[in-house]
Amino acid sequence: MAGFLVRRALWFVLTLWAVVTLAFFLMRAAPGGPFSGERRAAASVEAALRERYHLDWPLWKQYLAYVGPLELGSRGWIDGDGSDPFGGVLAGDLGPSLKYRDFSVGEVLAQSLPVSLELGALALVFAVVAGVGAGLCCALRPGSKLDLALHWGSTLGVALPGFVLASVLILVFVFLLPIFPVAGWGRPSQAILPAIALGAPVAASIARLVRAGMFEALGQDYVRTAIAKGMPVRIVVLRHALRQGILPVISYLGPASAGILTGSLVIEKIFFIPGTGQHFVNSALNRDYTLAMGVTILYTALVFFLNTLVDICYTLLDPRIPLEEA
Amino acid sequence: MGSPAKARWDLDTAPMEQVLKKLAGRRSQGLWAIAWARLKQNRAAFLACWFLALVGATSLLAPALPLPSPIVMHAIGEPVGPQIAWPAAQGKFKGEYWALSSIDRELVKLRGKAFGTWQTPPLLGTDSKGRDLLSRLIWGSRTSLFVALAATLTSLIVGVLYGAVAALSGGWVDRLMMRVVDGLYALPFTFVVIFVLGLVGATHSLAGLSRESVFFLAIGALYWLSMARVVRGQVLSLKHAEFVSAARAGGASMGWILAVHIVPNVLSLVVVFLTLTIPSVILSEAFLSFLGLGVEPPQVSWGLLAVDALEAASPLRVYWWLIVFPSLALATVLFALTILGDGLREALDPAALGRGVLR
Repeated sequence: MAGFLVRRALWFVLTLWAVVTLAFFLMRAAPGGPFSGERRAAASVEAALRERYHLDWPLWKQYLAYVGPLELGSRGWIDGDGSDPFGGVLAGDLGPSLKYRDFSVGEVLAQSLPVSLELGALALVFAVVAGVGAGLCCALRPGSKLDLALHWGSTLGVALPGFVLASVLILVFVFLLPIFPVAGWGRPSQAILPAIALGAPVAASIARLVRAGMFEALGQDYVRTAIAKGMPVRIVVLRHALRQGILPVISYLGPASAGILTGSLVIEKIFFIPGTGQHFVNSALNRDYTLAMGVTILYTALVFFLNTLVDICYTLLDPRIPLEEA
Repeated sequence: MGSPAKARWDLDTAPMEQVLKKLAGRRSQGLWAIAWARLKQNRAAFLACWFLALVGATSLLAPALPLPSPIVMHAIGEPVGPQIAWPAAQGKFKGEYWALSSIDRELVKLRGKAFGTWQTPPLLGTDSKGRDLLSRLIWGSRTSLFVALAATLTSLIVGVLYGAVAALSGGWVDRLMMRVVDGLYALPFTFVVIFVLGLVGATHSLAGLSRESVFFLAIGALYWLSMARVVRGQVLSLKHAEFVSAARAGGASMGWILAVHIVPNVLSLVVVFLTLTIPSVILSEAFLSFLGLGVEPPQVSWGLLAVDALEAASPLRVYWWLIVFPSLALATVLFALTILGDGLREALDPAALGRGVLR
């Protein structure tokens, strides 16, 4: 276990370094800059701004300053007033946002991340509860009308993108039957529609996995034995079969959380939710270099962390499976 | 000492000849013939297949169909619901498009000859700028399906070549190439793609590539990794399969083995993978266009139609057709593709071959 975590940590550092480097140079290679937007300031103002954020440095100096707590400025290695604009990623400082002038990237993320995490967690809970429930219903009454309806429904759910579902939900539950508010964030009633729209595709996949997994589990000898010795079917299903039938779901949770993360970009836009997703898209478009880098680092870390967590859970549930060499 | 080859054939020539005589005139059923027969038995998958063929033909021939132009606007201020007749001012067809390819221009000329200025009424209504929704849906399907095919082909070519080269080389080349794939898997690729597309922006280009080619390459890059893995695994197991060893022992050349034994066997896997990839690519395109990172107006795609619908949505008037019809189009096509993919997977499953049709 310790060895696994160490290997994972090494991979994480390598991945993060690759992402930071790739993103950094790609962003600088792209035309335009943070201060060349529509409302362009005077040339002298722009030059002053570029100097203040050290965008006038050569790229390699900017890169070093961004990555490392090398304190290049105060050591006099690079020009300037002997100060560093910020500590650098390794010192845990993501720098000031170039667009939201009065905020640091850390502050912007600290404001928006809890909202995104809350929405994501709600969606994931909805997906697991609805998915496992629907899958169990199918597996318990195979071939019934309920099974057929749920099976086709889940196939449709896998095929439908979340934003299509979101617009249909808005149409029905906001405009036709005004039950929910149209958008915003803060009240519980504002979280229900986004969470459903975000979680539904995942729920559909989970339902399919549970259905297939339970069919296989219910055909096993130990299940037949348990039923033969007179145990109630309910207990056999919930205690014996479910433990095996749910395994594919656990391994799917990694891709599922990544899917919810990406899906949240769109869902947050539709429902005007002040989460991190908007910053991700907008900062790249606005050339807000530091914020874009910050969000990219955040998402990389999140995806990596979730995948590792899922791998560990998998081993805990089924000790026969060794932690893979990653 | 007689020739060993002759001696071997002498053993049971007679029964062998009888068997051959019996089988003469009967063609053996290849993998594809069996798969086709099995697919035909799966009614849902077969229907999906025909439905997709119909959608494909419609979107391919869109310029020649008597549809209104997808971009001509009318300042009416408000979307109009499904109607069976145009208001008098809008009844005549105006041939305005974005820059079309030469084939499409020919098709538009053909339309002019066949239908003149007649155009279909707004059967599905219009959007807030007076543009016909049916026309925009069909023209949008061209973009969505084209992106899907182009990106899938990119991932197919790169993935198959990469996987096959890794498997056939073996040794450290194989290990190195697969480590690279593992490493790329660890990257949150969707985010990298969104990031790159955000950088390319609306009118810019990146490293000399136009926005459109970056778009295709980026979506293709999302999917080639799995393709490379799948192909490598299959080629690796085929490399050591008995019938390949037999062919090699029989003196077949490497090219012959590749063409006759390995490619057809990998192909079935690739086809299944493709039918399952195309829906996810269509989803990605819609997703990226929705975020404003994909296709640019005045061109349309299904993702952009979804944006239009949401922008026109208001609590005062419900323009249901703008939401319902694009959703329905996207849903039915993706649904059909998923069902066809599932059906093909079952039909081509080697473990299930010999069941069902072969009786």
